[in-house]
Amino acid sequence: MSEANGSQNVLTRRSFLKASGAAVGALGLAGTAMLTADEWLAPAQAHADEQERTGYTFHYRHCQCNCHLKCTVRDGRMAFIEPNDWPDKRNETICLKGISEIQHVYSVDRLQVPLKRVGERGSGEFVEITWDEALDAVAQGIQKVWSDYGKQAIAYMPSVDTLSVNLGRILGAQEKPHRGIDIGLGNGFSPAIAESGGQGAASNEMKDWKNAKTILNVGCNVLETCMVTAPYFFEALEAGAEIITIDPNYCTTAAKSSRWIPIEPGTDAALYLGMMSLILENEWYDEAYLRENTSMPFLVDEADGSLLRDHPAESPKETGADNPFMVWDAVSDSMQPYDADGVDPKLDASIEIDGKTYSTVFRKFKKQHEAYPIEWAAEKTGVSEEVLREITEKYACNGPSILSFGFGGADKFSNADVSGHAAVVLATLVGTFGSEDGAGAGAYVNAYQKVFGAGKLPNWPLPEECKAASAPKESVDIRDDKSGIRMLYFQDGAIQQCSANMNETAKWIDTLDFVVAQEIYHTPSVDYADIVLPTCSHFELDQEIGSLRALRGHALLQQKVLDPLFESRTDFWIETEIAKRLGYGDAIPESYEELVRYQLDNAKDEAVKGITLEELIESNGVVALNDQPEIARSYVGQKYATASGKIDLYYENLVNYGQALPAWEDPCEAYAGNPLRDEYPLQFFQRRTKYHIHCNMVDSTWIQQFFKPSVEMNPVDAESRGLASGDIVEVVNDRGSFSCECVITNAIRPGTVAVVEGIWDKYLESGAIQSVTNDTAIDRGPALPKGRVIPFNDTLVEVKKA
Amino acid sequence: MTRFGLAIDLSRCTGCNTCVMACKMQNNVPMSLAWNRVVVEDCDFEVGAVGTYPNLTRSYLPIACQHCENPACLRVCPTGATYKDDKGRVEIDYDKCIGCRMCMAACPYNARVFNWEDPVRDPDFNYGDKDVPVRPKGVVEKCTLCKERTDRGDEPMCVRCCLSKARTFGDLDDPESEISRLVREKKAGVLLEEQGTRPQVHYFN
Repeated sequence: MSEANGSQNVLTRRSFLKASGAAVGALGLAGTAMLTADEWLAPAQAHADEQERTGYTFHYRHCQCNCHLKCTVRDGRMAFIEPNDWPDKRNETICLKGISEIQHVYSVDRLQVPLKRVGERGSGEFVEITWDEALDAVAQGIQKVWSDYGKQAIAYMPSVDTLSVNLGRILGAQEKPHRGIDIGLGNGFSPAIAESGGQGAASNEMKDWKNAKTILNVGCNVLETCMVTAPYFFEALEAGAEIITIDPNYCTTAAKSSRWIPIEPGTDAALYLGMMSLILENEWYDEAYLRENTSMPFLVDEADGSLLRDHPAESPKETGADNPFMVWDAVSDSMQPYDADGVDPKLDASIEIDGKTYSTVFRKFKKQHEAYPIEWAAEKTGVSEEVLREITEKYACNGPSILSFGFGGADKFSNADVSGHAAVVLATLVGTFGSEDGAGAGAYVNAYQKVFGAGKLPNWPLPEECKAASAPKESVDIRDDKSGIRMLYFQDGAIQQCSANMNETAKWIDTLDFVVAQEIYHTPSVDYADIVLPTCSHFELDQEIGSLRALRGHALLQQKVLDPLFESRTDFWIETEIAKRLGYGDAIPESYEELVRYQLDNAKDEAVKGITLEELIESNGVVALNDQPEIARSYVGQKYATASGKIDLYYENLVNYGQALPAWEDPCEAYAGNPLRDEYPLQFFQRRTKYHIHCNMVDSTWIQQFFKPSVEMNPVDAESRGLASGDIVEVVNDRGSFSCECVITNAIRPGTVAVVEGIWDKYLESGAIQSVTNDTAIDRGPALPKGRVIPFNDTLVEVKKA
Repeated sequence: MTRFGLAIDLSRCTGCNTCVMACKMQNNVPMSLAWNRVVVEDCDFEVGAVGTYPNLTRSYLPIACQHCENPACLRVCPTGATYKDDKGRVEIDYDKCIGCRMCMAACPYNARVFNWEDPVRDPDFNYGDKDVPVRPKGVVEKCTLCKERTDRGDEPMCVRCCLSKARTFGDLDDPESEISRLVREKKAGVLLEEQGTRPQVHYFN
């Protein structure tokens, strides 16, 4: 980054606007070498007459945005990228990441040829090999692991953006086993409403925010992390909604919200519990809604915490239709099945029958909440009682209300499932789900990618033995003894992104028999691979037709923009070559086109049926899915695919963990009174940014014009350590350390430090960011739907001058 | 007459820099130069904030050529390279520019940049709109209000790509245009009004 450009963002309005020599100088480059008259007076030239063609492709889905791009290729090089035309004009988007692909596809960090490791794992020492050598080595490695341990000994970690089709099933591998990322809040939120993705996806689209009056946006920097939703955010504000962003740091979204309320990191559950105490105290809950649509009136046996059923249940998953839940009927004053005709269940009751005490879930919930008065919540969260009262009243009484959370904050603490569970109970108390327009709750960024506007495309039929393996139940972490993993096949920087405590992870990788990386870029994860397969970006194809997606309300086709760059090959070509070597050459489609035709011809999803490849090509790759609503909403008509068919707020399977109803639990490391704070007083937060999709785009020189890796900290913490902006600092704890520049800013909460996640080791002064992060697996993990969460942000560090 | 301009809703600007990137690509702007920038007001860093935690503010200000009605740059240009065109845009005839940089000193908005060296591009070819002239070493350049696009009836690239829909392009001489309505109804202001440059880029909250 040149001095000139580095300073373009540091100008203040005042210095920018004064035409001083200094300010002008800041924009020019150094160097005033004399020019010849010819050079000086050389006429400006338009580009010579070059051959242009246009290609269309989708960009990344990992940022949730699914932009579809119109790309101009001039003399074989991608020279221009713009939003494609969509039937739904709201989707004609591109962000700085998409535009920066002009340079990024040609990045010096592209993997250009297949590589074979010659140094230690992690050393980054490779030699170039041919594709045949690489593919033979990969196939032999797979076959050896298959015969020595069985197919389930392979962990397949595809990119969210992978264009591999059948590879995971051909490998017969465990796919992303116990990955522990972005599932923390969903673990607690999703079971109550049987949210299909299990990651806490919101119950309505962000387009519905304009119909809300009060929006609590808790720990979600949506304006940076899901940029295409920006218009819906501002529509809501302009329609008069109050957007209250609750976040430890003054993030972009906080700055653009109606109001920002800072909170102690890791205490989101305490915020929700305190709010619920106020709602109970003031009877702001929707009593009829709770009685009719939720498990709140169900009877619980006080002795063992089990839900009372018609007959003893063999599993908590047994449906209410087969084995009804029991309630206390106010009309007959007797116990009745919850689905009996004319039953009028009591919400708040406790009864004794044959010497046994049964209480409604609601009664137990109220009782449990005696431990969470507002004063308690204020102390835990650092949000004053007055503010808590004010926002709770708005949330409960000035609806429709939205409760929005993201994946970057509370999700990455050990108590994430408690936060998620508390969030779903809070939203239910005020009657959020399946009710009025503009009411909703969940992760809005997730809903955009997976739940709404998504069409289901059929899988290519493979021989019966080709299927993914399940992760062993007794394993909680891919790295543990019980996972049975002996080989890792990964894409898109999976090692760096999906593992905390990198030094321990590296030790584990060293024990593996075989590691394969199939990557576009030389991310830090690549250095751990034995064989590296360079793959194409979404812009490159060796055929005219690429793969198909059905997201964002449209069928989206990838078509060729560029031929494969360097010696990279498409994900499809690579899996075809591997399949041939494993004896499945005849079982897979011959081309993406054959696959796409199969997917369209055999679609069972009404949203996709009838769309043809010809129509897609004619429409430059974008065709609207059938019958998509203007604004999508779930749970309409109070339909839930839960055991009871209602909102099941009581998690019977967590009774033994004390979490049948959300109960406060401190974060496992970054809690207030942790003695470890004597040595490591600062909470460490990895934040996401508009500039990258995790480790992707970090090497983009266009992005680097704006972004420089830094540790961000508050002046209070910097002063006590004698640090100034620009100092190289070391971030350290007992797990490891890394160093880079620091930036002192009031936007960061005192007592915490932030760094953008995904930065490659080579762009730091030393070390790796993940070397300091917390990898503790909590005991409750195996009982949670998606297993334990990796508590990346539940980390304490010290920062000192390097 | 046509008098093209921009209206920018600062309350919608998230400082995302997409407009900056879009401009760079469209206009084949080399590395280390920018025609369009987003300033974080009174902050040393993009992640900065004004005030003391937790009493903070942050505002973003996108700045490029203001296409002034009374351009300070034009008055000082000794060769007539800088001119006001028939659509109300301030443009540069690169063939006439002698690189004296008087215009850069005169512009109160610091909107102009100079090719001190042979332009360095990454990737090293001419990207962007093929109708945009390639500028050699020794000339001044700046936002053209996407002359090539707006001549074709398209919006400037920064407007096309703005995710927040904060930017509106149009004819300020047409009282029925969206931009005229916004300037009127939002009581939009201009930067450094006291300079008398009468910018055609209007800002509102």
